[in-house]
Formats: sequence, C-alpha cells, structure tokens
Amino acid sequence: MNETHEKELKVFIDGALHYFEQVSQEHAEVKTPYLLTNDMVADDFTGVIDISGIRNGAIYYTAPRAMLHHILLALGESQSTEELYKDLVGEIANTISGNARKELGSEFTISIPDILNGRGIRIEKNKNHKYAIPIRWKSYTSSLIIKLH
Amino acid sequence: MKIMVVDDSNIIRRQITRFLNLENVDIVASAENGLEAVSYFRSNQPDMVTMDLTMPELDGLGCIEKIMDIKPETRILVISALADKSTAIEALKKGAQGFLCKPFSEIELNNALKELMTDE
Repeated sequence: MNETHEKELKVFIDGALHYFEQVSQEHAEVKTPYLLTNDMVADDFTGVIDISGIRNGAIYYTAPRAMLHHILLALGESQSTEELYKDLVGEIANTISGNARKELGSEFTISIPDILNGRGIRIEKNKNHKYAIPIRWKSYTSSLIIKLH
Repeated sequence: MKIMVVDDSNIIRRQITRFLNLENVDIVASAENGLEAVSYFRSNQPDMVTMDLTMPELDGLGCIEKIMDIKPETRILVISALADKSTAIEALKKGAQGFLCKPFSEIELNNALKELMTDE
C-alpha cells in the first residue's frame, strides 16, 4: 500500500468512525484494511457511490440486515422496512463519501447512491486497486470497499 | 414559522421531523428532490427550508437559486454530507444562510435552525 492509498484510506476510516459515533454515541471498531485479491461478495444491502473528477471509481458500503435494523433503532427510527434498509445503506455510503471531500476537496465528485439488494452479489475485482475496510459495530461486521484509480 | 424539509433520503426527512423541537415551527412540506421542492415551495410558501445538495432531478444548489428567485427572504439551512469548504461557500453565495454537515445530532439541528431564525 503506497502513501497516497494510506492517506485516502485514513480519510474513509475516520469518516466511518465518525458516522457511527454520531448516530449511536457508540464507537465502531475498524479492523485492518486489506487489498482485495478476489471478488467481494456483498452482504444483504449495499450502497454504491460512483466517484468522478480527480479520481474515478466507486465506494461501496455493504451491511447485514440485522446491523441496519440496529442502526435504524439508534437513529430513533420506529420502522424497519426493506425500503428503509436500502435508504440507510445508500445514506451511509453517501455520508462517508461526502465527508471525505473535507480532505480530498470538491473535485472528488460523488453521485447519488445506487443500491444493490441481496446477499451474494459479486462486487467484481478489476485491475484497479480495491481495498476492503471491515467495520465492526455492536456484534455486527459491515464493509466499506474503496475502488479508486 | 413554516418549514419545508428537502432530502432524497426518507430516513433523513424522518430524522429531521423527529429531531425538530422548536416552538412555533411547523413542518408544512417535505420533498425528495429539487423539482418537487420548488413545486411544494410555491404552494406552501414556507419561511425556512432545510436543503440537501446531492439529489436527483434538480440538485440542492439549483433548488436554492429557484427558491431565492421566488422568495428571497426565505431562510435556508443546507444539510449535506459534502464537507468541503468550497461547497459550503457556494451554497451561501446562492442564498443559503447556514450549513450543517451530515451526520448531525438533534442538538446540532435545533441550534442551527435557531441561529437561522435569529440571524438578521
């Protein structure tokens, strides 16, 4: 991992930690990021943000249904529906990506979220570097996947 | 005072509705994109607006411009994940009076709206 990749990963890790701290007043734990050597299999719900401008690629946030249910409770949400789970993974991906512009600048352009619905969807590895950042909150593990070139 | 909530995320719209805890402030409309917001704005004439920036159809900056054309005295609080300074400055130049970065707490939301109401 070169210095640029390390700095960028730190921006996203800080963003993810800040998100969980703010919405739940509980710390999340980030496990060691790793370079994906194979396709990644998506969890129940995945939010995708396309990146353009100074960098190209995508940011994925993928999480299990039970974790999203608990995040909704932490937000004070009384409902748990498929639509809210999809909305939530998109919003988490959007928030972490948008917050990254504080360090990466406004030329780091983000799209509105796209949602992948369903466990087992393959997030294809390609020739670009792609890192996975495991995020543990309560007893659940989700992943932030950074694919930038 | 009448307020309109604009965000493409239903979760955020519902969160703002739950968090809002100011006397004499009532939510009169909520919209999920800029075009819908302009339409609801014309029919409800709110005094304040919370405005997301990254939205389909018409984004928040375009929507602020249109609202300023209709009613320039409207007080607009941008609530966005876009945390860079230049985006905040651009929103303020277009006519917004405040900027709150996502994710936000209940206290931060109410304080930002209070500031918007008292700011001359």
